[in-house]
Amino acid sequence: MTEKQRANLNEYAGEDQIISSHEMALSFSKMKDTRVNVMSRIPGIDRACEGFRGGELITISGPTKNGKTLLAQTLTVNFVEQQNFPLWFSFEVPARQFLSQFPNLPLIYMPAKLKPRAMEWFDDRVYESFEKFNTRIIFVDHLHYLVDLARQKQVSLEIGTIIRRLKTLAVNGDFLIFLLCHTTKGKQDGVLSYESIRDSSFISQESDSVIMIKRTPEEGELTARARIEFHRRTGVMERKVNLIKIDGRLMELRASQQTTRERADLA
Amino acid sequence: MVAVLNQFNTDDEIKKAEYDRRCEDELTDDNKPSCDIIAETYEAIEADNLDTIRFLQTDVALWQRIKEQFADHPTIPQYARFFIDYESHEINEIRRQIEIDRETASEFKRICG
Repeated sequence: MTEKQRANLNEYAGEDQIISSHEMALSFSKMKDTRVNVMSRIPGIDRACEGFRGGELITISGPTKNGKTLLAQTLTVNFVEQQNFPLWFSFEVPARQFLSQFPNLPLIYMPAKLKPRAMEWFDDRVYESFEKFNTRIIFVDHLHYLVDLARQKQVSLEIGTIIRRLKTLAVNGDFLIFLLCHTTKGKQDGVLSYESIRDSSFISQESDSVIMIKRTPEEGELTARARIEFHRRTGVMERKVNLIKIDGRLMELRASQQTTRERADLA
Repeated sequence: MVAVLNQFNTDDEIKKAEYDRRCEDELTDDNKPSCDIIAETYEAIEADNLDTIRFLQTDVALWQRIKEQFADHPTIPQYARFFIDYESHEINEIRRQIEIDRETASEFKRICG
C-alpha cells in the first residue's frame, strides 16, 4: 500500500468503516434486538436456554434412533403453537413418512423437492421461504446431507465451512437454525458430550448451543434424556432434562411421572 | 266450477306422470350424468381449494409481518394473532376437505366403472 493510499483511508466512509463501540451500540438501539424469540415449552430446556432467538445456530445431536428428529418435531409443534411456522429440510426421512409422524399435521414449510449437497440451493430456499412465508426458523435433518463426503478430502474442514456459512446465514438473516448431527459410532455408550459429534469439532465450536439426546431404556420404554451441553448466551453448562414421549411429542418427565420401577424401588 | 277443477286435477295428474316418466328416462343407463363430468367437477373444486390454501398461507405471512412491524402497538398484534390462528386453522380444515373429496371422487369412479 502506498503512502497516498494510506492517507486516503483517513477519509474512508464505507458501510464497513471502523467505528467505536459507542457508535455501534447506538446503531443497535435503533433496530429491534431480534424478531425471533420462541420457547421450547419444555421447562428444563427453557430454563437452560431462556428461549431461542434469531441469529442462533443450535445443534441437536445423539446416537442414531435416539430421538433427535422427534425432539426437532416436538420443538416444531411447540413453535407452531406460538405462531412461528418453521422451514424444514428433511433429507434423512422421506417427506411422506416425516409428515405422517406428526399426530396433527402442523403448518410448516418444506421444499417440494430436495437437493442435497448444494449450499447455494439451500440459501436460495431459505430466502425464498422467508420472502413468501416469513419463515425465520429452519430445521436441517441432517448436516451430512449438506456435505459431499465422497468428494472431500478434508471432511472436517468442509464441515467447518458449512457450519460457518449456516451461522453467518442465521446472523445476517435473523434466522434461528436447528441443525441435526450424528455422533461417532464409537462414542454411543456411556455419557455423551459435544465431543461425540461426528466428523468435526467446528460443529460445537460454531454453534450457540448443543443439545445431546439419548434414550434411557433403564428408566422406561419411552424415556430419553436431553443434555444442554452449553449455551453461549445464558452461560449454562451440562444441564440435564428428562423427557418422555406422550402422544407423539416429547415432554419433560417430572417427579410425579416416575416410572413404576422407580416407585417400586422406593417402596 | 266443479268440472273445471276436475279438469285441472286431471291435467295435474297427467303432468306429474309425464314428469316421472322423464325422470325415469334420465336415470337409465343411456341418459345418466357422465362420470367424466363428476371427476372434472371434483378436480375443479380441488384446484379452487388449493388456491385458497395458497392464498391463506400468503395472508398468514402478511399478518406475521404486520405483527413484527407493529410489535409495540397496543392492539394490532392481537388482531394479527387472531387472524393467524383463524387462517392456519382454515388451511387445516380445507386440506381435510380435499382429502374427503378425493375419497368421494374415487368412490364415484369405482361406481361408474
